[in-house]
Amino acid sequence: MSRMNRFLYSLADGLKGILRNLMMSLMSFSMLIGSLLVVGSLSLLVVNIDAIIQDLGDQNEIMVYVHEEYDDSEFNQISQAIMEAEHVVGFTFVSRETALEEMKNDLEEYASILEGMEQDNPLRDGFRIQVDDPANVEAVVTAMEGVDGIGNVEARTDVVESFLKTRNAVNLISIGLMVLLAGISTFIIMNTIKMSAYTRREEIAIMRMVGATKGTIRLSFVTEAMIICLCGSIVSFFAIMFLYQELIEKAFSSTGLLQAVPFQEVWGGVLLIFVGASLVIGVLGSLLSINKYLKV
Amino acid sequence: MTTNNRKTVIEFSGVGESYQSGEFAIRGVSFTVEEGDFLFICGESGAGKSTMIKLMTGEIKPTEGRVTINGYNVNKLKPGKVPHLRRTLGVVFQDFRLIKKKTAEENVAFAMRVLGAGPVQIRRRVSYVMELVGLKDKMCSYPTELSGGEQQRVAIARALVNNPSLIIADEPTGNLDPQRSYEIIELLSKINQLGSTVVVITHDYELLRRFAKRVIYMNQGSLVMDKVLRPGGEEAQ
Repeated sequence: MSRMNRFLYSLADGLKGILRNLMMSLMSFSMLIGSLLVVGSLSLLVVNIDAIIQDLGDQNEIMVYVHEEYDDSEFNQISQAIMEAEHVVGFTFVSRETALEEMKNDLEEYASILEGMEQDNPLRDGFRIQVDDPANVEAVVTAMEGVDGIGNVEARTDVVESFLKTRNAVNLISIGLMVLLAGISTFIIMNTIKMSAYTRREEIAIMRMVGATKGTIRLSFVTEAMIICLCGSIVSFFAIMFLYQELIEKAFSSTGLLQAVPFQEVWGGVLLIFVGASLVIGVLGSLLSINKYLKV
Repeated sequence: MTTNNRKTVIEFSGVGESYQSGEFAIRGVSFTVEEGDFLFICGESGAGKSTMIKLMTGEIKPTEGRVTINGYNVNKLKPGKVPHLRRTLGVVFQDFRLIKKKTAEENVAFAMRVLGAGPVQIRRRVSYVMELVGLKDKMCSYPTELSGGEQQRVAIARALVNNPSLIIADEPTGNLDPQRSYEIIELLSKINQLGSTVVVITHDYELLRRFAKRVIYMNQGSLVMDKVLRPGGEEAQ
């Protein structure tokens, strides 16, 4: 009962503290929302780049073409080499006839160009190889180029590589910005709580004198910071949900080529990051700022 | 520790307290106060009275000797236990230290609230102590709407509200005129008669003459007199 009372009083004190220092509280609140929106946007960008890379990975295939002339023994050797290569998860033989058919399907509008090619098919037999991860495509290409009997290897490593580079760059920027914005937010929260503690310094002295523990006194300031941070994280969550669904998802769909990761699939993670980060900032900021006033 | 079946509430045994410079604020101070006693500690500025209060409230530890308050050995008191000692004390200050944004009732209730008391318990107890100090009709007044004497009564009510066994009043009449000062000491005497041990720090010798109480006189950090006075200021023993 006593603990519950103390918690309820801390909650009431926290709310009063926010109202007493409304300007500083609003500043902390706005800063936190700004920080979370930037961090959230970058995180969602990473999620989408990852999804695109994954998508490329799903269709991630290497085509290896064998020399024009080969016998059964060479065919078996090549098959064996592909099967034993690292990172290869599957492969299929594509005959020159099948390749031509596929080309005809792909170039339906220009079918006339391909007319008569059945008699003099310029394409070669080959293997379509699936690789486990886009990051390993380069390694498989190198391995295949060293196999006797393989004349040519084709892969879209440049596209995958550019996406990987972008993702890593965004990741780095995200981490840097996260640290910077978390630092700024903590600093502003610290100042808000310091101001609150200063205006309540007489109360704190009386609390200490009647036998309140440091923990009890801290609790009301931590509660104040946590209320600001929790409200900030919830507002940020709904703001980013609106911005993402209205701008990003619609922009992706309008390209007709790409599909953004639906917000429904990532909302749990976003909410967890927002609430977790803001609580850490709130607790840290308030604990760091209150100690000076507890020495009575 | 008990004497004549009465518990020892305060025990100073050869207590010394020195500043960082090595100069002593008090030195070789020994006395005991038993449950239900009323004690004046008097002396001029710099006599060491404030140091004694700091020692009694666990704000500082003695550099010499031993201090025991309500069974707590201040010498060995860990920081986490200081609040436990303070819950057995009620402290009254010269400058009242009331929170201006709170009413008299809220100021008194605040002392209970921070220790986790429930609303019903708070309402009942606050009403009782406000009646005891004669301010039942001023419960909703803010400190700025009260006279100095009334503000000090609120501060006494706040000191009493958690039912401490020892009330320490640090110059409680320092900001009051003689009549209000007399009324405050009268009130503290009444509280003493109800069972609380009361220690009043003062340098108002007129009050000592008017109340027949035990007086400890401090001079330049040393205890130079420990006597019970008769009304008029004569020594009773």
